[in-house]
Amino acid sequence: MLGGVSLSKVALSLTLAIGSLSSFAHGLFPDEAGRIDWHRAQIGRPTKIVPYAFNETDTGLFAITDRNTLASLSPASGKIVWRQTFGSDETIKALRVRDGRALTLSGANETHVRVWDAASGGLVWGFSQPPDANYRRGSGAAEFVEKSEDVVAVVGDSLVRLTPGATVPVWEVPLNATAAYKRIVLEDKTAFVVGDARPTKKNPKPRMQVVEVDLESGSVKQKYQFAGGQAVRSNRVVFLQSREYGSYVVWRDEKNIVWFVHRLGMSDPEWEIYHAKLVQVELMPADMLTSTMYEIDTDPALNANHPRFIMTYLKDDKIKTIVVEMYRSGDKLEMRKVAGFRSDDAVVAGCGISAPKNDAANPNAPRAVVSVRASDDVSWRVYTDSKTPTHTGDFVYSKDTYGPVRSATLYHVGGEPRVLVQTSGGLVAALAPGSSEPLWFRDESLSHATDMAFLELPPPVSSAEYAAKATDPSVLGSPVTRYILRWAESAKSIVSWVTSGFGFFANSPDAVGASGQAARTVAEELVPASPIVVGDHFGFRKLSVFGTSSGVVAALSTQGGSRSWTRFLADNGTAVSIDNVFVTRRNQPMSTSAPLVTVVGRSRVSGNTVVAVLNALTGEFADDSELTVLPYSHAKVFELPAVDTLNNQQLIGLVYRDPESQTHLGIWPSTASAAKAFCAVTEPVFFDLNDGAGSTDLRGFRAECPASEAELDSWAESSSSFAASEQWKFGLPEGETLISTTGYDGAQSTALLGRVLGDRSVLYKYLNPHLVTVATRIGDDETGSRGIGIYMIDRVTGSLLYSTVHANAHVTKKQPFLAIQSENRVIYQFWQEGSPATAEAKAHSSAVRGYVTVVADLYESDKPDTRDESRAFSSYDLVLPHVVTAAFVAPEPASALGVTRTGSNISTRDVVFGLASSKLLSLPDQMFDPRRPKRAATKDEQAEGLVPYAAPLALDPKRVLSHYNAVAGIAHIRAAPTHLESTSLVAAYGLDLFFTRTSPSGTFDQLSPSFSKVNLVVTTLALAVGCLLGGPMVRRKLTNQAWA
Amino acid sequence: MPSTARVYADFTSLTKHKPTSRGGPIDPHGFDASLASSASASLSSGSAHKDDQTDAMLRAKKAWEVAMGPAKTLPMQAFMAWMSGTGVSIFSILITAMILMTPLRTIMTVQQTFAPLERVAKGRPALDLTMQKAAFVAINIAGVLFAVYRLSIMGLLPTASSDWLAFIPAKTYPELSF
Repeated sequence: MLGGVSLSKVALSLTLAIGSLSSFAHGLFPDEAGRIDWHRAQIGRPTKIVPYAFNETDTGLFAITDRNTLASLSPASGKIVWRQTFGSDETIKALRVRDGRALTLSGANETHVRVWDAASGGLVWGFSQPPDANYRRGSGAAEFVEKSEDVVAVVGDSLVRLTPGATVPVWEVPLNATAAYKRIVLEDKTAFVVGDARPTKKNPKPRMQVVEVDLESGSVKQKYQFAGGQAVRSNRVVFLQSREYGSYVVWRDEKNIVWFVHRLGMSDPEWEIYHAKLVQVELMPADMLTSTMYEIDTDPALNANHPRFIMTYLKDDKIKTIVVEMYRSGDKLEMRKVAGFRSDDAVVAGCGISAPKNDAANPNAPRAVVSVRASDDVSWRVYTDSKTPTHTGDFVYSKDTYGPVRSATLYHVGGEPRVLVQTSGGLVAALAPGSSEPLWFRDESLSHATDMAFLELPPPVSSAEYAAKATDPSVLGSPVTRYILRWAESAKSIVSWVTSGFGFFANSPDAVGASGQAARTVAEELVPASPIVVGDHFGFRKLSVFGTSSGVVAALSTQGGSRSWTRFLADNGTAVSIDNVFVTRRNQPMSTSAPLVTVVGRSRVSGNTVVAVLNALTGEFADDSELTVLPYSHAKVFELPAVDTLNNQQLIGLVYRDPESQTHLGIWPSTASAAKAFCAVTEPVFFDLNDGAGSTDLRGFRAECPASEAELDSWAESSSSFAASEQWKFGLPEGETLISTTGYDGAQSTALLGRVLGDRSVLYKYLNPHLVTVATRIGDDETGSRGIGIYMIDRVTGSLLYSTVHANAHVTKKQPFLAIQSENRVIYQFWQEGSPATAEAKAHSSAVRGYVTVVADLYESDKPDTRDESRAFSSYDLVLPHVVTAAFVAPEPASALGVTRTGSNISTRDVVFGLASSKLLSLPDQMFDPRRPKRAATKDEQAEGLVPYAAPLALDPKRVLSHYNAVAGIAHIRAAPTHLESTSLVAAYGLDLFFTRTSPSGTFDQLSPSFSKVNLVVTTLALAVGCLLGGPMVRRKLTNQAWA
Repeated sequence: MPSTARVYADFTSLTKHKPTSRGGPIDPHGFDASLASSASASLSSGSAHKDDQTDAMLRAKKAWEVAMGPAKTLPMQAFMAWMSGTGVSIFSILITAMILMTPLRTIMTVQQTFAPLERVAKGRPALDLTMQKAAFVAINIAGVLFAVYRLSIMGLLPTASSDWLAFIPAKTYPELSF
């Protein structure tokens, strides 16, 4: 009897011990940096890639990108050697690499010329030109002066010669806004600056303007115009630079078959050459009219004596490509065909030239042209001086994933040619001869991410469950059966854990995840064979579905960042710009229907709204659907709380204005059943609308359902919509324009309806889901009066709930206005100028100069224990909030704001700042409490957890979520709850991607890493052994006692 | 020669040797059987009324002592409570629980506590100790009240609005806006 009891106890304790091992809790601890988070450094889509050989063996790839980044890439791996990210409004217009130095010209009106050390990325010297009223849009060019370290550049409205170490230019030539100068051509003693002349009333036709300047003195030798009807950047114009013959511009008039060759600096009229003579190839006029010209290298050092260009033309519906070289015979300039090839049905997506070695001293070094055929599979050929290609290769790849190839660059690694192809989706892949797999690739599509949605993945099912599902799914209907199957699986894993040596020799689960990503080959990583469909037990592994402005939709695992699928969306071959991603059907347990994402964007062809519904697990179009172009362009898009019962898909609302300026609400899916589902929603649907930044009013609308069922029955695909009636108009005060509006990001959940004070009374939160924070710009730069107006309005009625003015604050692209709403708290940040100029302004605001973070908490009343007792919160029963505010001085400028999110909102929240210094900083919510006392805290305030107010927000290095990573250009911060209440996933994206998880209230629901499971098991076993040994002894003692 | 007579004192013989008829044990030294029998007679059969009254009075007095017993512990408990402070910690909670539970448990056992004092003899009516019991209960209730007061100053009584905050239903929103 006793033995029986102790045995069952042993069994129970063993079961407990095994149970404790069956699940591994993941925690967030400092030693896990880099394991629980991941960072992907990106550069953007390159606008120009320059290969540069440092010496015989060492090559570098230098790229400037449309995300204003200058980067040096490793030619062998594609990894970033170094990168420099410029300001968001500082477009990089020129890149030159020479003598171990990289030259960039960036910015618009305020122009920056910088020279970088090409090996290290360090700034060698720089020059900035202040904004110039005469600046012509598009203007800007820079070149190194030969045999000197000087630079000649078009900055603002001037041509300058700059020398290292000098703060003022050697000379400066004002260009007087005569043209948008985009090209500098340097000869020995002369600089030609060429631009698109400003159209005048007398001469509205486009033409080119040249200014010839003496390189030494900076004196203008002559100014003239030429090439009527031509623009500098056109595919009918090439610049040819030769040391021996001088600099030429070759062009063909549109719809004409006459070629013009102009020597820069010659006042003589241009030479005219008829088609047949130009390249010594017989060209029919029809062929000529389709011809285009490409410059193949604009580096004068490379072009050397015999500059070349490429011409393509259509002959008998076949694309022909020829490489043309300029030479001089006697005193005559001639062009000849060096190589030519037919490309059949193919398209030359790009071309380029490069020598294995940048050798200016060797003008006859072999140069090559790359032709990329990009019909179905990509195939490429390298030509040097003959018709037969010297190297060929192909690249098996689907255009549905990253879009078509748009350009190619040739470079050499150790004398071997490499072709770099770029797709319009943002893929950069390095190809080598004889291999269809890329050597490496960079996926730059996500550097243009505009929106992101988290998709929950189902927890892993045991293989026993899988087997049961496959054989007899009805077995799994019972939770008991599933539970037993899971236990069986856990017992199996225990056995394997023990046999594998207690896991000492195996990798930890996280390490497996990380190495699993590395174990993929380049081709597998590019196009994953199997998508990620299973999550984990804790909800850490989800799919993050990104939409980008480059037309790519991509799903990445939130753990490790491995790619699940990629889809390129194009309308008539042009990438669409995706604005929003919605999860419209979630993963449902035991369901066979796949989860869906609906992406909403705009066509670049028509500007109209496009919608695509994709299978969220595979990226395929759902149910044989395709990209739909709607007959309107949406002004606003949101998720509707209604589900189309026909296909179990959540509805998307699309607000648009028709040509008569009437506002409508379209829905997607646009079917009769969806329309009925929308009209079945009992609550009236309101929305607000504005014309974006700069508008002077906001309007509120209410969507109206048709009165008759018949109208819903006759709902027509993609052309029907609901009428919207205007409810209110909120006109901004005179002289104010809209900056932005901020509402709640998705549905909010609140754990506590009030704020418990130190004396145990309650301040009830003002929770109004219709709250919108409107920020306006007051005054303008010209009048000198600056400020920001804040209006909190109700979106249903348009009533003003709270307003305030921040005098002497202003918003620029560099100093943006950021705002976020969370629960009853509104946080916003802006730049405040220092000491106000006027006495009146002084009375209004403090003299703090810096980034100011303002927090406004909304309560139902200023008195504790006072609340509106009604069960329903209707905006029509106007209840004004009591607003408590405080302002803090932010330590650094931020580029994005976010708030962590947990399942039930029981954990406190952290406010996450994406800093301009490439850090992700999370600060506790309590720090932003406007109730922090501005004196020593009373006992009640201490009990409430309030620390005395201090204006500066402390930048605690321990709270930098991104730790050693430099997360550049953070533009958005998103958070998602996990299955652990303590833990929130945080995603930051913009230029780079960074994912981590954080526990604002500590990891209270997880075992600490110091918890020893081995100890637990050993103790349990020791107790069991003790019971087994002690049992007989106790029994013997009892028997003896009975006999005594 | 005259023979030497042996002289000795036999102390055992100093008292009169009176063996019992039954040959049982000798009474202990100093035992007066008559006195003993008279005393036992007065206890068992001495039906003097005066003795009864004294007994009842003594019992009642004893009962008052029992009834007032908890009152003596109250200052001690108050001192302990003061020492443990009003903060919510394991010690203060344990002490408060003790202060609360002890009088409650004592109130439950009021009948058992007074039973030995109430019972007089077989067949005789039980002594009436109602007043003592009432006082005993009242004092213990005072102990409970003290414990409750302590709970309230420790903030462990759900008397504030914040204690019911979690049970307030969230509001519904009759409008939707986006």
